[in-house]
Amino acid sequence: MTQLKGFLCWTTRVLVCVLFMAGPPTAWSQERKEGGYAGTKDQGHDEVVYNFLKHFAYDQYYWARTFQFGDLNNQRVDAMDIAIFAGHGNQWLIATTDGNVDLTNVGSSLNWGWGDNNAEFIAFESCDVVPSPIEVADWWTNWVKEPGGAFDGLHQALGFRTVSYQSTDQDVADNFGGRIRNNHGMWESWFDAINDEGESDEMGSAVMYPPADGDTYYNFVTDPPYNHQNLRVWYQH
Amino acid sequence: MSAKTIACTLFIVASFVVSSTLSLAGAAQPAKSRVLIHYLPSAQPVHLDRERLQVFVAKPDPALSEEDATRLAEGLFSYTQATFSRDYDAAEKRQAHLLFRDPKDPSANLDVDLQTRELRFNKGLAPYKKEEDTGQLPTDEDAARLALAHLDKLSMLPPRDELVLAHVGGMNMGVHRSDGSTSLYRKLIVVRYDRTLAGLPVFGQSRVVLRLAENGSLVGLTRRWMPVAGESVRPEELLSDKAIAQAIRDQLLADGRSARSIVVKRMDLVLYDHGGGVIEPAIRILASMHYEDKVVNSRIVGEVRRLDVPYDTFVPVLKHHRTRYPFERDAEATRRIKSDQPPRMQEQEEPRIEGRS
Repeated sequence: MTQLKGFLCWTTRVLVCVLFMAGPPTAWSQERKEGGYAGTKDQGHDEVVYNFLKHFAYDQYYWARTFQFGDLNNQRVDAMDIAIFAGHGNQWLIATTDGNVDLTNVGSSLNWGWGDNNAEFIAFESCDVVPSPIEVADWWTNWVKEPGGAFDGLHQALGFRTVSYQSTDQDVADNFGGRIRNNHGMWESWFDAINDEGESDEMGSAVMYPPADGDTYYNFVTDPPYNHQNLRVWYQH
Repeated sequence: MSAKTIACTLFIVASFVVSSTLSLAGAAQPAKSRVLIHYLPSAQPVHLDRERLQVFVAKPDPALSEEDATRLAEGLFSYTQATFSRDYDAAEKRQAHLLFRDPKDPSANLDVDLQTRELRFNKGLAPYKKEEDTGQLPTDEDAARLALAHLDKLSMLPPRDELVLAHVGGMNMGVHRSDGSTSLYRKLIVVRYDRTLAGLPVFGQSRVVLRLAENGSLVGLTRRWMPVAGESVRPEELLSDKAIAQAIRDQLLADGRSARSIVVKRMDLVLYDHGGGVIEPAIRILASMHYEDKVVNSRIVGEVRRLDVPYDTFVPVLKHHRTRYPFERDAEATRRIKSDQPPRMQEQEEPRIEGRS
């Protein structure tokens, strides 16, 4: 399994290199896919996701279910270039319409974690999902441990280290979508959107493969290896 | 024990099960819900001072012309030593917005809203991505003082009696390396001012947020501060206390109908600013909703995790409110979203065509 996984990552990298050698197309002309997943059916989380997706197409726009993040993520979250989840959360945990997903264990699913297929970015418009060193001294292990960690080629995971209010989340998602559509820095756009729209006690947090610090939605570095242990976290306090 | 104390105590311990069918604008028709609502002592019902409430309406300020906005932007670039240029290639062009960016740093951008005069500026974070602390960061006290000085020098200082220092914090970076070593670096200081009008806190859009770097230099600014004038509200324009209490309960039950219980922590009269050129009185509700759900992919078979989810919302006190509230949802959002089935199940569900293999 590990050898197969390594082979696939290697071939992905070769393909990416070939694509880069072909010359960079203009940013907006590049095909990208966006997926949005709403964790509740009664609290406006669909509007949060919609406010993000309306800046793009609606490649995937679903009520969130556990398989989208776990066993069949290659056809959902990991088939997208960016996925956004809006719903309830806790540290490394999201609540979907058919149960909770433990993000410390999604890498053990049939489809491994995220990034081995396509995903570069994921954003959680939820409370507490991305803890910073303020909350947990070991803020990295759960993202990259083998087996289980969600980072299997993923570039950046964005979220909150604190509360994310329901009165502001639809505006944060809207602001963020507009910013990355205009090819501004990925996690930087997330933090800017929180500054612009959030309350004073809402604090963002973003975990990433260090060379991917500087990625935009349309210009990003080669995919990280699936088994790296290098991580960087930016956090507001 | 006075009657007031007894009444208060009764209220504090009150918890009730409500069965009701609810109908809220824009929300799907909910099923009957049985949710336990607890009110903490800090969540006293609000009794409006009906003679003194005001609505704040945007002063009819002329919109910025492109020339004025360009001058404003150039003043900001000169003050912060930023090298930006007009962003004519933005994929998403918004009407009446002037966009600028630094082509060398994708995090650097300026957006000026010509209609509202709101401004969003990020000088760029590329210089702060090295594994090192930013030198000479100001202390919290100095940061708050420097923030006001920056706004004053840029002629962007809001009326002092409306400014409330809401937060002094910052932005840091942590690193975990493959050899197992870790480091934390202090990068920027962030100062946020919120707004108060006629003694009430303003929630929603109004704010000034500044990012400060070495020696307190300005590297980021969000300014959303619509100039307003107060207008008295006639008592007959307000909902009754009973109607407000009912609206709060309806709102909690609509949003929390799949929760096990709801704990209401605060109910405060505030001003709500969410566009439309008006800032109006509303009740802000802070609560916690409790859920218990199975963790589907847990390492512990059958694990059920209890989630205590923070919840907030705003409920209008005006019979005919003019700003947009979070509970007013876009029907298009729900119309477009789809239910999902695992792909393999979908394949099995494809209709068979008789007579073909």
